[in-house]
Amino acid sequence: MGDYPDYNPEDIYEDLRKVLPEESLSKSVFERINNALDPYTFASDISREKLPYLVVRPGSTDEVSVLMKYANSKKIPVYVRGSGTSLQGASRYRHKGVVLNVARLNHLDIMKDYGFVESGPGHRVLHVKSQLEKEGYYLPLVPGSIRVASIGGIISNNSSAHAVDSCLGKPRDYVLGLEVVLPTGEVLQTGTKSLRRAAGTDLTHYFVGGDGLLGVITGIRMRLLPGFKNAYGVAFFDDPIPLAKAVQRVYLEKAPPPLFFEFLDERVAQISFKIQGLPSPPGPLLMFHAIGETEEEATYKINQVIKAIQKESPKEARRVEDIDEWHKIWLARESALPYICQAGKGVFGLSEIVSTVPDLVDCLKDAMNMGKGMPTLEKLGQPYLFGHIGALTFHPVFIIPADWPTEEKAKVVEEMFLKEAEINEKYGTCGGEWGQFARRSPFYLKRYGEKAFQMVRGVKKLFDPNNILNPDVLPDE
Amino acid sequence: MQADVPEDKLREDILDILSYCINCRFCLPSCPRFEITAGNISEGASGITRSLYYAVKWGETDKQVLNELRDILFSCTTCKNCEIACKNLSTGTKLTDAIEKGRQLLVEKMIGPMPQQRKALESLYIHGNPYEMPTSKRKAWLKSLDLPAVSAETEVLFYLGCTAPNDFNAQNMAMAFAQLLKQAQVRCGIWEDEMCCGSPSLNMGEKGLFEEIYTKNIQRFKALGIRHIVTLSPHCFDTFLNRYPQEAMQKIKVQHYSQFLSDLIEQKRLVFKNRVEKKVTYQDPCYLGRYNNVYDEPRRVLNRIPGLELVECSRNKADSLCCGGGGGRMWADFDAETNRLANIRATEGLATGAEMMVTACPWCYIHMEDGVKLIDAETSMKITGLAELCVEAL
Repeated sequence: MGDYPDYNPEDIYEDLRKVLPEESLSKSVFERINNALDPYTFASDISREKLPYLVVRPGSTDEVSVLMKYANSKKIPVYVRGSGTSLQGASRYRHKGVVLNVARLNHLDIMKDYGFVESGPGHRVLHVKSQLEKEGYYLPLVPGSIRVASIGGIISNNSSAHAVDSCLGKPRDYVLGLEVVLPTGEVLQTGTKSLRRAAGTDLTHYFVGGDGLLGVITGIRMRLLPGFKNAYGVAFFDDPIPLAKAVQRVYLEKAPPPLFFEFLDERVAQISFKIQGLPSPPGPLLMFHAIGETEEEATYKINQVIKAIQKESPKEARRVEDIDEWHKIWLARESALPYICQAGKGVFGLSEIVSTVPDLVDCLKDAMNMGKGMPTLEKLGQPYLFGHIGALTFHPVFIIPADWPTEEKAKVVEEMFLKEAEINEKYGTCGGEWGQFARRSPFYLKRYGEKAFQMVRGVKKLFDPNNILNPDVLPDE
Repeated sequence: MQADVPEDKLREDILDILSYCINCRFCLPSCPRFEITAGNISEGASGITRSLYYAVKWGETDKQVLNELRDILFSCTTCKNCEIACKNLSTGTKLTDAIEKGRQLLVEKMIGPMPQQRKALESLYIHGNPYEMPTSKRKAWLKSLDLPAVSAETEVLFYLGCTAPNDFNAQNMAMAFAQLLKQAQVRCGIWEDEMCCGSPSLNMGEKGLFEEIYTKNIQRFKALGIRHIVTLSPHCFDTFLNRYPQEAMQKIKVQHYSQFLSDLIEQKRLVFKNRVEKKVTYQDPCYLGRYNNVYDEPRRVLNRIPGLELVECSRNKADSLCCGGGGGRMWADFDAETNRLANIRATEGLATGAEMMVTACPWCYIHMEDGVKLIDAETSMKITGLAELCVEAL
């Protein structure tokens, strides 16, 4: 943890009042509390003494720049916050400082002539998606938290979330350029206004997926992606093993990767289908959504996926033509987490395990047995399992009784992430969609080695010499 | 350990309820209060309940901080949109239950309610209604309804609620419903000494007063032999149905007037003969819709009016936008608000192309009337009550 001077919050407030408008500043105790929280508070709760000095909600890039210059000169930590939904602590307030909430940085220009959209980081992803859809475009950002997650956070994390990488790529592939305020206060414009992207060094790529370590993103320029036609499918199995093999088949048989390719284990499917009023599923299931320029193309693709899946003898694999049925099936997946939380009368511990194609069956078994050998985790039994299996990702979920003591809940989270790191390391994968450092630094160090870790630190030092931006996301040691 | 002191019990309950909240903030975009403030997290949904949680957990005693908490807690419309979002998307935390208990706690600590709300509570205690309306004035107005007083012959008690005698628009709604009752030859009665159901006292954290009110009302229902209550207001409906002790109310059928009208139409006791060639939209009252899942009956009634075209607002049914009148907000204003919910809702209504917005709640009626005026749309879209539209179709 860095060494930072201690200040009187009133002094900071008075200083900033001289250079920032009143409406951009809040010293309310409750606003400070709420901006210091993220999910999994029970794993690291806040205290009255360690509340942020104040919350700053800048209305412009200039205001961000003013704040960063001030904070840098005083060595005050600044925590950047979108909607605070990161499950890995990327937006967590960790050390006495200022929270910079980007909610008011919310310009949005759909520039059809140029072929891109420019947006502030503060928009909720769903809002940008809805606006683009009105104009016939698709936003390739689909986090499960789409209703609330901010677009700045998703870009900082480079999260594909639900989307299968091999279908649409990563968010990075769509970002043409950024406006960024450096921790020292200078404003950078990166990338291009053309649809032709830079071939050589492009600083854009340091910030997209930069874990929020290097600068504050204040503007995002993304290529417009025209909307498409859709086709849907579902497959039920007796057992999860042939189900995982069916996903391998889709890759091995060169079937076109669907946009979404999701999995529910039998327990989750039973709960979710019942709530959606769907017939009881005969076992675990796959659901998939293919896209094409035309309906024929989308249908062709879904049929190719079904053909590959059928080679692993599912109980049933079919195209879903009734859009209402598909919506219910999709909602069963989208709402799986709340349904199992409420059925288990608890809160969730959610982790993320990523496999390779050949290891998918073994990885699935590891995910199913994730609690074994972990004293607290084991008490909760086998995890519920679902995930973006087409993107080779599982989300094992442990339901923690709400009335468990905070320390016990914290142990669950600690053991869960320890085990998550162990499995991801075993398969040589990347740890998934929730960023690399906030909770995964030990994994990063093991997976990529000390040299790589030191290089990341060196880059951080270059951009942020006083280590004031989201400190402790990247630990010192 | 079991808490014996009311304050301790409230604290314990609040922490218990909120132990399910994980700060995922999925509720925040659904919160109407958040929609009309500057975007501070503490001004909406789980931002409100997290503020309460930490104030309780840390045993906050600073008066200024507690006053700030009061302003946050009492600003909630209690529309329940956050709870629906939490149920559909997260852990199913009972956020509005926690807010109600938080209000009770602040009243116990003499920090709540909001200063302007105290008068309404005093009036509730003195006059049996929150509008400082003397009983004599109320009784005088009742005559205009031309309905008999409740008696042994009464099939249905038409429970007017406090707003109808006090507000011109709500009066029209009540008079129209009275006309429909007469038309359908319902053996109904009104209760001259009717007292408030107690909903405002619950909303404003005065649970003790609420208990006094329901005890008296239940005694009177028994004495009068009431078996069926039909309310004008969704708030009275919800209070009788869900907040009065179940045991005492189990032999009394409680309905909102939209449900009763729907039944009368089904039984062919009420027939619409006139065509009403109008395009209308419907404002779902929170305490009818989200609290009690009554979405279909009012729509069924509207759809039975010949010539009428019902169009839906972009947000409707469980997703419908609150008018801003619930949760005790009829008696308080909040500085932090940058817009009015009724103005936003009126704009949504206008966007449907409807020439009328129909509601089945006196408070929605009052707020929406203001809303259309404030956006200069009163000539483009009229606000009306469900009962009045039905009278037009007789």
